[in-house]
Amino acid sequence: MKRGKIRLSRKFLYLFAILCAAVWVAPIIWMILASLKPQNSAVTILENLVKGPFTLENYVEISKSEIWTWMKNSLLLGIISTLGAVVMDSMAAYALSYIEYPRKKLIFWFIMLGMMVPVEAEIIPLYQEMVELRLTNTYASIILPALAGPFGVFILKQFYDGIPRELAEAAKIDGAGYLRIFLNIFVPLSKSAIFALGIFLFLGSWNNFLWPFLTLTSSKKMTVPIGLPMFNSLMGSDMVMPMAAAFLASVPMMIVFLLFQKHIIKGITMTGIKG
Amino acid sequence: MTAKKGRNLRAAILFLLPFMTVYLLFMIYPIGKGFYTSLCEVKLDFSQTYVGAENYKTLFGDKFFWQSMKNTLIYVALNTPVLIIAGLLLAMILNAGLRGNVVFRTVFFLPYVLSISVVGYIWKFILQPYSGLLNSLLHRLGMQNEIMWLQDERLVWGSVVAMTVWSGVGFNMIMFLAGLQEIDENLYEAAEIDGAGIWAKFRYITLPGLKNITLMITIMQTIASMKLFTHTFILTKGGPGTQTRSIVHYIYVKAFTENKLGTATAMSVILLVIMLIFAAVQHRIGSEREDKERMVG
Repeated sequence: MKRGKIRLSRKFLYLFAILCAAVWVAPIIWMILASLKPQNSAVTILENLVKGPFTLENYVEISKSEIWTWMKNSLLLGIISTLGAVVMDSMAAYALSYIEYPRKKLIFWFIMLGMMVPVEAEIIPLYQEMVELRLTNTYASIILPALAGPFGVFILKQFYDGIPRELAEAAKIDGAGYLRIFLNIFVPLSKSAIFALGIFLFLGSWNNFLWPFLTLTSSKKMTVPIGLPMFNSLMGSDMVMPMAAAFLASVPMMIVFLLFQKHIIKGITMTGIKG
Repeated sequence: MTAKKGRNLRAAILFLLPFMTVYLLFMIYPIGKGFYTSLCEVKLDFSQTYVGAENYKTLFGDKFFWQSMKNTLIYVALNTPVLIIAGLLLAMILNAGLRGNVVFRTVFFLPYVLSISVVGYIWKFILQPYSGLLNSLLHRLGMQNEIMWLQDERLVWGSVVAMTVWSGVGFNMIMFLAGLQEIDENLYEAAEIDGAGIWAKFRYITLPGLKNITLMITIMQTIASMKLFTHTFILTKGGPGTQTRSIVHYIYVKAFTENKLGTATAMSVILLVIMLIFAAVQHRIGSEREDKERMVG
């Protein structure tokens, strides 16, 4: 009797899950199908959408636009900011976790202060600063503020705090200095945390909108999120071409996601549980 | 002993130096500069004249400032609970261990990695009248009139929140899932032996077990929602009229359309102070939790 009830409610749950999943995936399927239709077709009539004709001409057409430049820029800026941040953050985190010196706590809190300040609240003075440094519309204007975020320092410091000190002490007795202990013990033991942080930072960089939108003005320098709306605004009421552009621009991130899903999930739980 | 101390200090400085340099130049300096600029009138050539609290006075008398504040708070009030409930619901689906669990997780999380420009674009075409996907579907089901999802001020926030949930719920879902997996399996078994139903188990085991994580997500979500800009900027351009223009959006307009950098910066400072208050609350709750854990441990 009870078994049957449980089985029934499980069936309902399954049905509900499938319904939710259908709703969630529908917009993406729609984007992909619409991008394969001839230009100016009515892509909201569902029969037309699944019946032919299909074509790749939209993809050929947008390949002639600057979309490849934008994707290259996004990729380049994402990789440089992420690598730079991961190296600097892990070094700073090591100094805040393992090395002992006076006023360490004060320095830690001083860095934490920046965690509470959203970029959105300092865009105007940052913009003025970039104008003064003549850095507007350069890659440096995107990379430098990305390196200044203390999020990674905080996450890695928490992680380093959990590494057993006996390992470092043993290495010290063998004559290892701070650099060797860092490179041979702390970094290898936190490889997965560093990797998760890296994926997470890359995701943030790839999707960053407001700041690049303000500082990157020439279309050659733009990233995907900034270039796409500009491209779309040239398309008028045609839905098909922008859908192709949107999908093409999403492919790299979808691949990263499918390959590194576990790391992204780990990155999220790290922020949550430790934050 | 002192030699060792000196060595420690030197090592610490070397390890901290790269991060601290960019941190001071591109995080701390702009914050400090912002506080000063908010007290200045800024000319087009960026020359500043000190004007005291003038910018703040202008803002407090500006009905668009209060509207942007109200809009942002509406978004926070609607978005936070919906994102939490949706996240919990999806996490519970995943936690049930259904067949094809990985597929469900992938599907629910996928929109999170899409660029907001892409998300905004898809949703614009789902929600627009006459040729949008949603209205076409509703017409098919027999609806006669056109629903103005983005132009009707009674519906527009619902539309914005729907898009936010679709694209952002993955984050909360993963957090809740981690929380659910921490709950002791034996508690459910014991409750089942005592004859507890699904609802009782949810009410007396699941919810209390998720208390901490829910609190954390609530604060993180509130802070994130306060920074609303891209979602409405791309989906509604702040419209209809200025009905969905957020604080950050108004900062942008003041600075780059109206060229009032001083007033825009004053608004940034106000936003900053609000965020610091939230962060202080978050820290307070976090340390209370730690204290409790320490007492139990």
